[in-house]
Amino acid sequence: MTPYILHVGIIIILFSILSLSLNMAVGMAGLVSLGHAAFFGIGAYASGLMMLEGLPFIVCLLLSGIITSLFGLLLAIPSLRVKDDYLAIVTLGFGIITVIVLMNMGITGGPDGLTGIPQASVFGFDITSKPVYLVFCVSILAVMVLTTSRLKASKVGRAWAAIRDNDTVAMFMGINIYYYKILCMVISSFWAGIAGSLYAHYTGYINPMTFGMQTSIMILAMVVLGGIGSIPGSIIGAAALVILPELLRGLEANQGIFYGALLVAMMVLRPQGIMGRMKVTDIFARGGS
Amino acid sequence: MGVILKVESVHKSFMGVSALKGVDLEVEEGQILGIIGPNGAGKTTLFNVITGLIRQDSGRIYLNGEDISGTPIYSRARLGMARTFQNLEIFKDMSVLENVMSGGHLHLDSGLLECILDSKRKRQEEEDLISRAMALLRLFGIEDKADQDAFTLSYGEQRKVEIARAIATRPRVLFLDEPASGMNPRETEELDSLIKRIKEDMQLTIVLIEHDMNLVMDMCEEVVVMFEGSVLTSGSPREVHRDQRVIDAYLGRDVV
Repeated sequence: MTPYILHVGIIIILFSILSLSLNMAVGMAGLVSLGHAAFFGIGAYASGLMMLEGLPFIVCLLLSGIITSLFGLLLAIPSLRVKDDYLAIVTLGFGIITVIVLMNMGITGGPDGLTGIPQASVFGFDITSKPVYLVFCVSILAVMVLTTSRLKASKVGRAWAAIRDNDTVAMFMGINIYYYKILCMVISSFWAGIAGSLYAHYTGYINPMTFGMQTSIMILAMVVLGGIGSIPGSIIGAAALVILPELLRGLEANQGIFYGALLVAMMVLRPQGIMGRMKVTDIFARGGS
Repeated sequence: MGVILKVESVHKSFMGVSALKGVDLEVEEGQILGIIGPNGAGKTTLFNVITGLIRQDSGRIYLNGEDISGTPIYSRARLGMARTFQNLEIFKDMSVLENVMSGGHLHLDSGLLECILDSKRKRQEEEDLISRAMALLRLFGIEDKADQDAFTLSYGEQRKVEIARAIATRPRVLFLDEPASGMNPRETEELDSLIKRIKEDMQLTIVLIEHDMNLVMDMCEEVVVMFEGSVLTSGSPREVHRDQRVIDAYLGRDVV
């Protein structure tokens, strides 16, 4: 396999982790987030900074997931007071603030970002070569898929589905909706942080702009395209939206037009996404309910 | 048999309009209590206050002697309250079986880690829950619809799903808000005997709001009549039926 294909493969896996983590919130529990890339960024910066301090990669990877989930917790607590469209606005604000903070803090390197992030090794084994790193990322995605599908098929998944459907009625089932919403945000942001760490050590260089609105929307598009609430859909959606621009590269200036047109056509023809059961409008724009 | 539910001078107003004006109510354990009254009498508001959906302005509510006036809904469910809604509130994105299973949430003990690790206890609990939920669906005669999307069922069947889901929480007191609405006479009759049977089997206390007088007369041991936000009178269905004040309340004459 050429390095180019391996590179695209690694990016697909990283975005699969991101879109599945967002789908956990949006698709499984109905918690709309427009700032998911911020968690991606927090994980990347946390990991990069710790790695520059000389901590081993595997420690940085785990810690960046945990640190990011703490931010998820911090965002979840006040956000519980709002839902639907209002939650979307809160997370949008969170995404914007995170980029501004990263842009202006000394320790994060300001707009220049962090450079020279040491590359990854696990217990002395160098995993920086592309094929090895791809295998490493795939195995992390596999762990995520396994744990997520088990959660989905357990009382946790049922509680999330009940909350997504109608959180007031969910309470009458004895479901502590605050606990389950916080839990969802914490696990979702944990995985986004892991993706951030994997990304930081892959590129060796990060800057705030990577983690802004555009990336948040991109991840959300992957979720919607792949299928809201669907685990395989999250991966298919990520793969499609990473590969598509690569295929359209030959169109140069017209690339954006075709990319946009394809997305619009997809949503018109199949509003529930490639693998999903629910339509976008089941989660978004429920207005007033 | 003591008092299982006690409501003490509950007041509630919405933007200056009094919906409940000092309601007192006592429900004996094991009883089927009917709440009737003309539209706008405050029946559903009273249900909403008792089950925690809305907060009363003043007054207290006791479940089995415990003050639950400020307890969140999910904790009241844990203490043994379950309800259905006047406007069906089933989970639309779930199958019929999943709807009923979600009612069993309270009684699953395995924690987060066990769910992730798919522990033996978790799998056992899920299996038990499925068979309990199926048993309930059988009881309601809709077990063949278990895997269908809940919203595809007929109105009457959706009501049954909602009641089965409420029973799956294993309540001590079950609140039914117009259980027979939208049902045809045959379904209503079925429901009547079903509710009585469930009440005996599960030693439930049932409080229900109903407009179908035949159902109320046949099923309830005691009837409370509400009118304009207060309790007008209460007694056996027979007594209430003959009460001139009740007739006046319904027909809109001045209440003496």
